[in-house]
Parts: sequence; C-alpha cells; structure tokens
Amino acid sequence: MTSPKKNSLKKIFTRKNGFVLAFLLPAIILWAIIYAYPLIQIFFTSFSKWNYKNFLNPEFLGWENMFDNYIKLFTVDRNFQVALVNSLKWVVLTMCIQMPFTVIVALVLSKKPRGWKLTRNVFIIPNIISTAAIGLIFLNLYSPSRGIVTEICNMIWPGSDVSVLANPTYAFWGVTFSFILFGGSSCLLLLTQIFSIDPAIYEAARVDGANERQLDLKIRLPLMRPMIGTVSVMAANYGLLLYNEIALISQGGPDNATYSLSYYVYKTGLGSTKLNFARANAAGVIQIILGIVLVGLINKAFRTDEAD
Amino acid sequence: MQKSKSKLGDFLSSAFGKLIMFIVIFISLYPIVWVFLSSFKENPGGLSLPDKWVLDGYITIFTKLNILTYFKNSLVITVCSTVISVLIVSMAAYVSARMEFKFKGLVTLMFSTTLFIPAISISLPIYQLINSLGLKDSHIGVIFIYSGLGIATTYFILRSYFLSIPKEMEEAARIDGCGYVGSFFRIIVPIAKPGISTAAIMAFLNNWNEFYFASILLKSKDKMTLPALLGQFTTAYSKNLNGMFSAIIVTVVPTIVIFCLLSETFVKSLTAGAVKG
Repeated sequence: MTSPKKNSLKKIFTRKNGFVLAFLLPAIILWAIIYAYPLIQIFFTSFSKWNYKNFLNPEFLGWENMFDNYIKLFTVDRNFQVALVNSLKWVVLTMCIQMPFTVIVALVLSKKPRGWKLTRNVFIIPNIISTAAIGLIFLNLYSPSRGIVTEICNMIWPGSDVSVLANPTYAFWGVTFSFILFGGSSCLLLLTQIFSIDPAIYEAARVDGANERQLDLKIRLPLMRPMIGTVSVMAANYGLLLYNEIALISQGGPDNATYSLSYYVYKTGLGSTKLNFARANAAGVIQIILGIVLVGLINKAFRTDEAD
Repeated sequence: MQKSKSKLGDFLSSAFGKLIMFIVIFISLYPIVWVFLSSFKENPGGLSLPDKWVLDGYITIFTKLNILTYFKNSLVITVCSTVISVLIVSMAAYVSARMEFKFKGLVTLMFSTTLFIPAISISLPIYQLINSLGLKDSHIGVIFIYSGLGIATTYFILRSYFLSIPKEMEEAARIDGCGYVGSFFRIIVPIAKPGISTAAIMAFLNNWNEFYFASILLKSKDKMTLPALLGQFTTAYSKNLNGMFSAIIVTVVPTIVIFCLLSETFVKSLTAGAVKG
C-alpha cells in the first residue's frame, strides 16, 4: 500500500531537487527577511496601537476600531495630508515635466548630431552620483548667504532677497528642481528603443515624402510608446518615493510644507519622540497601494494594443 | 520656394537640437562645476570664480575629518553586499532559468513582488529587526540589508542572461562528470561573466549611493559611509564650508571618473536595469 508513496518521496529527494533547493534557499531566506516579513509586519501593525508607550508589544485596536490609524491619517494628521498631496504633486510633475523633456532630448539625440554621445553620457551623470551629494549641492545653491539662486534673483529684481528654503511654496519648487530635470537614464532607455526601430520604416516614409518632424511624430513617438510607459513608471515611482532630496535640502520644512510620504514614514516612526510606529506603518501601506495603483494606471495608459 | 522653406526648417531644427543639447549639458553639470569651483574659494559660494585658489577644504577633510575612513567604510560595505547579493541571486536565477521543478513560477513571482515594495515603506520593521539582533550601528547590519534590497533587479538581469546560454554547455560538462554545483561554478559563471558584471555594476552603484538606511543605522562617526557623512553636513559640520564642498567633490568624483572610463559598460548595465518597470 505505502510503496507508491514511498516511491514518490524518493523521487522528490533526488540529487537534482536537493541542488535546486540548496541554490534557491539563500535567496528565498533573504527575500523573506528583507521583504516578506516586514511587509506582513507593517500590514498587521497598521491595525494596532503601537508607539513609545508600548514599544515592545503592539496591541490590536480591536475589530471595531481597526481602521483608527488610517482614519486619523486622513482626518486629523495634517503632516500626512501635506505629505500625500506633495507626493502626488511630485508624481504629476515628473509626468508633466520630466517625461516630455526627456522624450524631446531622446528624439534630438536619436538623429545622432555631433556630440550626441557626450550629451547622453553627461545627462546620465546626475543619475549615477549619490543623491545625498545632489541634495547637499542644492541645499548650498539655495542658501541665501553662499548660494547663487538668491544672487541671481537679486540681479533680476534688485533687493528681492529671495530665500528659497524659508518660503513654503519656493521650498517645494526648490526640492522639485533638485531632481525633476535629471532624466538621463530614462533618456538612455528611450534611445535604445528608438535605435531598435527598423530603418526600412524610415526609408518607406521618406519615399512617401515625410520630413524629419513627421518621422518624429508619426513613427518614432508611437513606436517608443511601450518604453515611454516603462520609464514613466520608474519616474513616477521616484516622485512618489522621494526622500533623500527632502532629508538633505528642506528636512520637510518650512512649517512641514515639503513633507513627502517617505519622509512622513521616517519622521513619524523614527524621527520624533513619540515613535508612532503604527501610524507610520499605516502610511507605508498606503504608499505601497498607491504605487501599485500608479503602475497599473500608467501601464494601462501606455499599453499598445490594437483596440485603443 | 519649396526648397528654401525646407532649408529654413532644417536650420531651425538643427538649431533647436543644439539648444536642447546645450541645456542638457548645462543643467547636468552646473551643480557639480559650481561646487568644484567653490571648494577652492576662501569663502565658498557665490557666482564669481575664486580670486585666490585655496586647498584648505581638502586638507581639512583628509586630516581632521579622516575622509579616507568613510571612503573605506563605503567600499567595504558596497563590495561585500554586492558580492553576497550577486552570488546568492545568481544561484537562484540559474536554477529558475534551467531546472524544472514545482513552484517555479512562484519563485519568479515572489521576487517580482519586491518591485512594488518601496524600501522606505517597510523600513521600520527592518530597522527594528536589525536593532534587536544587535546589529544597529554595525557594518554587518547594513551589508545584510543592502544584499537583500536589490534582489529583483539582479534576479531578472541574471535570469535572462542564463536563459540566453545554450543548454548544450552544461550537458557536455555533465557528461564529463561535472556535478550540478561544479557545472554552475566552473562552466556557467565564466560564460555568464558579461551578465554578472552588468548586474554587479547596477548593485554596486545602488549600494554605493544608498543614503536612507545608512543614515538611520550608522550613528557613530567611524562607521559611516560617504552618503551618511554628507547627511551630517546639514547640521553637524555646517560651519566648515570648505570641508563640506570638498567632501561633496571627493564623494562624486570617483563615480564620475569610473563612469567616464567605463561608460559603454555602464550604459549597458543601466539599460539592462530597465526590467524594473
């Protein structure tokens, strides 16, 4: 009776399966510790009371009040609301400023004018150096005493004495311009896509009398569309997750006007004396959900099927 | 008539192209050039060129600040975490590219979920875990986190590379009496070197520049990485302006130099990293 079962057990513990398991296990363990466990933890503790008072034992809020943390985020937590609005603004701004700019640069460089490779590589530099360094550079550029922004503003409007980081609106734009134009790696990907287009298509279009501008609009842009979708997802995610620039340039200020969701999670969980882990984790859950929704929306917008 | 119009159009479009290229180069370089020039001024900052070139900042950071310690910390942490993650993930990627087993799809699905989980959203449990293991403010804790963070990108780059290697390679090795493990390390790894270096460059770059975990975990000065040190300048050393400007330059110049030397390899790595979408 048991022999078939035994046989199948034997089959499972072959040398090959042992090898498969041994090779998979380290990566799976790493994944479980760094991603799976924290994900499950933030999800469950977002329904609990957990702060400096009960540092070691998160308490479940009970079925009736389980959404308390989320409700508080949206009703009374001013910092979270500012953070949410800012993060969404940064997503929209990357889509409205960074993407069009990068696409135009890619179209220009795709004709391989003199110096196109140099331009492409120089454009990548801000993307590969440390964002902490970039943040610190912009902090100095915006400083009224040693920066250049105030000096330039004074040349245009004498006596204006703009202090970028002291004014909530200016500070928001200050943070924005520390990253929004740096689309070098996206540009690289778009170029790869353009170069993979079959030259015969251009030939055919030229025979039909199309000029370069028409080639850009009618051929390159539509054929770039899947890659534009891919880099849009990356850029939008960057906007949604912005942290380093804020930590170094504005530290969320002035008056908490430049909070982002990531900065909120850090500040609420670790950067204040109240250590409100539960609420920070609830904000983390919201951030993850927003990210997934965003990817879905962008993929839907850029899907290239016949039906659209 | 028609011809002159198109000539004008050509002229305009090439002028437009040149303008765009000029803007791109300008916005990408001016912050770094400004910091570079400022680092030689007696009083850093402002629009003018230095009227007297001084090296005070560089002398300070190499003598008083011991920037080489931070440099070494960054290097140790980055090299260790890159080696660990590429080794571990390449093993998993190889198995999932080559072997038939149950739950194969699940493994890829597991790793791809991490693309949707931002590190900062889940950073509190990671922080508490590292803290309870007593690894806060230690290099091991940071190495451990960095090894795990880039799992998905590394996995997809390597998996697609392993899939492109013809199967006959291992079959020949197996006939010659090579075991599974032996054929992986002796046959596959050498063949897959280009793919592995692509993945390693991406991982190295991300780990070298990582700021968030370094800044929340590494609190003592002799343990900090370069980005964490830069974070300190917003408050602690903000009076030493020459030192701050020089430290920025010392942090970014190695990356830029290596990029200039290996730009084609970098370009390939950054392109392969696009699986993230």
